[in-house]
Amino acid sequence: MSDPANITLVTMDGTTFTVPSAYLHRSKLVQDWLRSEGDKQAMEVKHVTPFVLQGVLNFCEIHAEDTSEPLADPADPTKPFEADPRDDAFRGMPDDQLLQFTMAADILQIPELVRLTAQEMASRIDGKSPDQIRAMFNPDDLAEEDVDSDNEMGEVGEEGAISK
Amino acid sequence: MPSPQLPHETLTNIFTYFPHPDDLLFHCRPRSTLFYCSLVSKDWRAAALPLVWSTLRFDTMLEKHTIESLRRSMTNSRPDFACRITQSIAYVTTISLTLPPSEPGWAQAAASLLNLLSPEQLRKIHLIFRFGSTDLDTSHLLATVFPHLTRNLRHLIIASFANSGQEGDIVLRHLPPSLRTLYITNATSPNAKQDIPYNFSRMFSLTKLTDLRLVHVHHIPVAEFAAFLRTYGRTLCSLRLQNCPEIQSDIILATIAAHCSRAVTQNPHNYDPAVQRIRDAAYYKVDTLYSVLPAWPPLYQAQYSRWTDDADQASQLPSESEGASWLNGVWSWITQRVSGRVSK
Repeated sequence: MSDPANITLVTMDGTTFTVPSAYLHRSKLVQDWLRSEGDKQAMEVKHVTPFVLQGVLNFCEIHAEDTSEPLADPADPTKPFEADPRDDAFRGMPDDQLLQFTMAADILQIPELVRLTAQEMASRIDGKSPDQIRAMFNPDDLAEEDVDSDNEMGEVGEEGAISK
Repeated sequence: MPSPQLPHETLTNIFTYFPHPDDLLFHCRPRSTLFYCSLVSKDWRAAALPLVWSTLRFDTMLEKHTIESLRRSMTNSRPDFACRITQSIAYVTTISLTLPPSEPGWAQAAASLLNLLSPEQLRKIHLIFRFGSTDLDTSHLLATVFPHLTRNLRHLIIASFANSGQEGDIVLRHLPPSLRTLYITNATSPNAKQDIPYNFSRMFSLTKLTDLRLVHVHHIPVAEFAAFLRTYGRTLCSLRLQNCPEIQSDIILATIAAHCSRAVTQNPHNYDPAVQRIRDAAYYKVDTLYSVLPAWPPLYQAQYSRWTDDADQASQLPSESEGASWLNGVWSWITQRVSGRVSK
């Protein structure tokens, strides 16, 4: 049986990280796992690389002693959200790393990290063209017929959506 | 090589952080970041389109021929395009209606478009009644929405209700039982042709209501309102009563204290007829200006912000434009006089 004061996480390539359980008290995935399978030796975190998991654990360590209420809904942009200088390292990372951290935050269900990465993603995307966004995040392509129909939709709006 | 794919919910979460208006046609011109996101990939498109299409705002900035263009696109000669537009219409969850319209035939065009929505898809309706004469087309438009499109409606906000005239009863008679939020503001004002004693009995049967806000609403029967609070007050999470003279009584306050244990209430403001007359006169000034320049977006935004009493929106008031300066002057006038009376 694992030490209840610590938790061991195993990444996709078998790398293990043992950290105080208190670091991950805001991770819904970890808390659910501790309740249902806490007697096992280690928790597998598939689809997360060691580099990204290390970064996530750094975030959790920085915020381990935060006393703020856990976020109920990280997608609620109406809630005021002031940038925390302790998170500057996450805001300065390259686009591909930010994408991986966004996925890891989603997998581990850490609302505060989900909000941080989502807001950073949004600020980088805002004002960019589709081509620029593709160059940043390289997602799968969109079929040509989809682009055509959306351009036609745009023309509907251009016929006079807003009074001059 | 493609990057790892973000889940649909994560993309949706990211897109909610874009700072822009939420109306469909504002996404199209100029094209918003969210619109561009719908052109990035299939996954991004699937997450962005429901947000792009989530809100349709039928107001003075939406011209009749634009509504008709949208309606015509459903019968486009290219069946695939028409099909996509029809599917996209299904993403609309919120509509905002500003009535009465200033353009002949506008209400008919809007009703024709709204008829394409399914009875279940709307979650939120924002009704704004401007000062002006309503007609049969306006009644028909309201009857298109209430009750046919409100089967799953959760939130209903009615601003300047007094300007609705008799048509307001179409709404009140058909308040859907699914409502969670109901705001009714300014059901009495000097702009109204008559002080209409609306029928609120339907409101008293809303069993799922969690957020009720009544501002400047007269003629609410005290006994029925008290009975409503006794029966359903426990489900209320928020209750705001302001300048509703009949129900701002000791009986209602005692009932709130006894039966609305979960509700966060705002202290009912003392109704001061003298203060109210000053406010009403000021509102009349603003409304008059608005009716003169209905299609000027900055003024519209400024006026709307003031009406909604929203501090965040009001802070975005365009300070350099001439009309906004004029409007600021009007509101200084209001503030000086109202605060002077209230502080005594």
